[in-house]
Amino acid sequence: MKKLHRTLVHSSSNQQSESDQDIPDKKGEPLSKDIKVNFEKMQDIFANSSDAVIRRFEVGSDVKIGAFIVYIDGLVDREIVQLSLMKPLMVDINPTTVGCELNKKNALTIIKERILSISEVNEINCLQDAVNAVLSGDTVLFLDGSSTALIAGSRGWEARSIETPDTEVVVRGSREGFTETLRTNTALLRRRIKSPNLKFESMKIGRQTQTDVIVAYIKGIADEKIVEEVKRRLSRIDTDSILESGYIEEYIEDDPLSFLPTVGNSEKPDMVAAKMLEGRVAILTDGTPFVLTVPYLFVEAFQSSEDYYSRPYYASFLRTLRYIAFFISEFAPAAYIALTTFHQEMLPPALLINMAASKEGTPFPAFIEAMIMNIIYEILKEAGVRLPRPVGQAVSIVGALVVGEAAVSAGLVGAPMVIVISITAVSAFVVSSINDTTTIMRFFYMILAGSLGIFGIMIGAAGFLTHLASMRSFGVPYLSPIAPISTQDMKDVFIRAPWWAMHTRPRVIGWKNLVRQKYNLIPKPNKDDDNK
Amino acid sequence: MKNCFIICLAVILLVTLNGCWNRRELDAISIVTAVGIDKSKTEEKIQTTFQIMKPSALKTSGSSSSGEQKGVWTLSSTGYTIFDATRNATMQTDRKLFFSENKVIVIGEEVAKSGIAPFLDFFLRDPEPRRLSWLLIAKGEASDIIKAKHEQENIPAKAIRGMIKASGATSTAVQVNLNDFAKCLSTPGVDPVACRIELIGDGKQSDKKMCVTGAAVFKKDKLVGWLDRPETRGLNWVLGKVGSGIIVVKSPKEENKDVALEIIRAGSKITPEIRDGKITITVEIHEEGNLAEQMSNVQLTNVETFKELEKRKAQVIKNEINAVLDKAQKEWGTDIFGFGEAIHRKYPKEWKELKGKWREEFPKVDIQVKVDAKLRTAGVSTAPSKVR
Repeated sequence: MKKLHRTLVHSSSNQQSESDQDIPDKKGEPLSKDIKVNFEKMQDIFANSSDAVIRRFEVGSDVKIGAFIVYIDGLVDREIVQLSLMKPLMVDINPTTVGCELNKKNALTIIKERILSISEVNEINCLQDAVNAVLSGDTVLFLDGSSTALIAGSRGWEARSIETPDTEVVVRGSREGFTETLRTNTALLRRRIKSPNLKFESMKIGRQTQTDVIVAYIKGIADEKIVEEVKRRLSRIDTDSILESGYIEEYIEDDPLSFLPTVGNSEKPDMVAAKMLEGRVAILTDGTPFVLTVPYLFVEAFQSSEDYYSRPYYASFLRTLRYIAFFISEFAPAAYIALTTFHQEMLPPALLINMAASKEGTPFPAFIEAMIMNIIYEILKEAGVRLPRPVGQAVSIVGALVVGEAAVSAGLVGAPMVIVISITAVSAFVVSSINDTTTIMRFFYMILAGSLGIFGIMIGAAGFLTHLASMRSFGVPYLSPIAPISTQDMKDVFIRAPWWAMHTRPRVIGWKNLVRQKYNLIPKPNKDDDNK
Repeated sequence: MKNCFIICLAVILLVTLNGCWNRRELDAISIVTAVGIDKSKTEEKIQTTFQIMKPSALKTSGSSSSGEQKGVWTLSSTGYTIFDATRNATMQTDRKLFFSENKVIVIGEEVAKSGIAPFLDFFLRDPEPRRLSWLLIAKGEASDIIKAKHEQENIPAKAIRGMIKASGATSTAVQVNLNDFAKCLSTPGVDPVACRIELIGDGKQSDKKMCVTGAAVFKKDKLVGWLDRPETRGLNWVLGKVGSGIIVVKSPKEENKDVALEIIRAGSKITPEIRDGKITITVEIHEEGNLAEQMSNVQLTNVETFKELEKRKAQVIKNEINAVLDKAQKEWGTDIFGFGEAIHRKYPKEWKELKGKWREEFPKVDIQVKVDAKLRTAGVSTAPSKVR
């Protein structure tokens, strides 16, 4: 499913010169008027780079002006370079088309204005800019006798096409997902929010990787302070490489030592658009389909884009179900350990008998049993994710047999333990966005339950809750709107109110421009119809 | 970094070094379902009999059809106190006894006669046993009850619990759990009763069946006597605890044939009155019922017959109440009805004086019984089936 993906030329180009580059000797060096000097310098810079193409030629019919272009093969759309750049310069150029005689002085202006049939052409004077442009996939044209070079937007490389994301599968709703190409991603957002207020502010991060990063927000809805804060935190990042948005997430987090994420991510343009329309700021990173959104609240983990597309009753039911599943996935093994080793009186008699019966003859204490099963499960999960698909199936069959059947019949663990682990595992996937957190927390709770029983679980839960309440994401309380409570915003927490009832944006984030729609939009019969 | 290390160390020590730790795996406990308390025949000790579940035999699921395997195991141990005897039992069980699932406490007749309170202290003080366990007094030895088998239930204790609950259908047994009993013991103006359990049937000891019926009447904490089935229902009438039951009266049309009347709902009201130092207590019973069955072959569904049936029914109820009143008031002098409490509620000032001498006063109290019995419907067939 690969196709040649054509990217349009960067609108904001590469005007700003990076002051802190890792190639210090070429820092801010101006271009020479002599083409030979420029040529040598470029050859020097791109020495041993087999993918860099430096092509010398001459422009003009009567007066020959020396010229050369530089581009990286594979990053440019060859068709553009050949038909819109090389052909006009070498074949089509003549006094009749140009209108006047070409000379070294006017060549640059004429070529830029009349000859290059490329939509985006920029002038640069600095060697570093030229190198950056080449590395970004643009083609740079140097002309003899001018200290200015032309950047022709010719980006176009092999890229994955828009596909359905694997991480957030929906039954109803858009199936488009972000791709690795930044420009495609901005287009996906722009197609959903056709407003000039949708702003894309770009910057480059990474000394070596020079990764393009775009801060996207809706002017008038997003809080400027948050936008500024995002930009401030992004500009602080001074590192070699940004290969995925996960790098950025870790550099800009509010609580870097916490298990919980304070930066959200999504692969779905409709999801990101919806979050931006609530006043959030999105951070798009080149090379990854995962777009970050801030501020990120705890309750967002329980929201799915589909909630907003399906009918409110079912959506609310699913919402509640997700909270229940979260608690099950957090506490089920811990509760099992606590109940069977400390608080047997809490079990109904019939269940107690069955559990005691299955416990007879199993060699390990419940805590060790739970640990073994959980670790085996995590290993199977990891193996299933990483292995190639055909092998993965074998792993899941072995897993089902080993964990489900053999472990019990071999007398390694009791049957109830298997049920608890399966319920836990399935529940954890219901709230997949904080799956990693729940996995870690589960082990903590299990240790607490194994040593202190329900008391230990309560201590753990109280600590967890305190931690949640103390966290902030870009100035917004992490647990809001539950704590501090905002009754108005509860319409989108445990339930999903009908759209016509949600006429305000979430207060904690969208307080700047609160009203989202006209009040009282509930559908009702037309009064005029009644009078007929 | 150093601080972090100290905190981590503190947490680890906190979790691992705590002294009082009652972690116990499920396969390290013996789940007790019934306890019997007797006096040891051979020495001056208490003999406790435990009914312990055998989970592997009781497992409901799975392929292991345990068949005729016994679901419980009974064992006896002796000690100077209940707790002592309980701990002594571990010498035979290999596991610690676990009382939270205990359903039934059976106390032998001899123990009950000598005073029951000291034997209940363990069950009320220890956090493990539940106060919702049913308290029964065995006619005879408690250990025989604990060792008795039940045909339907694998766990005999479960059967006893079921029988107590099912007794609501006849209202001829009292449903008393440990908590009710302890409350009655500690309240002045009420004497406790407990459910009676006995083994019936002839032949070998192992062939006898358990039967929950009647009541054991206490004065303070000592057993003074037994109530039979009609007397127990009489008690239940006064206490307002009659839920259902059958009252059999003679048919007004054919005096030698019986008619069964079903009790649908019943309630009671106890009104004490003190006038010139003389105490009168009025017990009003309101009862509603259906004509449930008739052995005669005449039409009974008319107003006059219904009136007559109501009258006869009221008389039966009155007789039942009077029987128990006679026994309790005149014979034993024990206030199992809570009349003292009723006076306490209505005349709190006078009760302060009365409290001390209530036992002497109670037999002299004048008790009036008024019964208002109603007959509502006659089932789905109004006329008796004709035999031609």
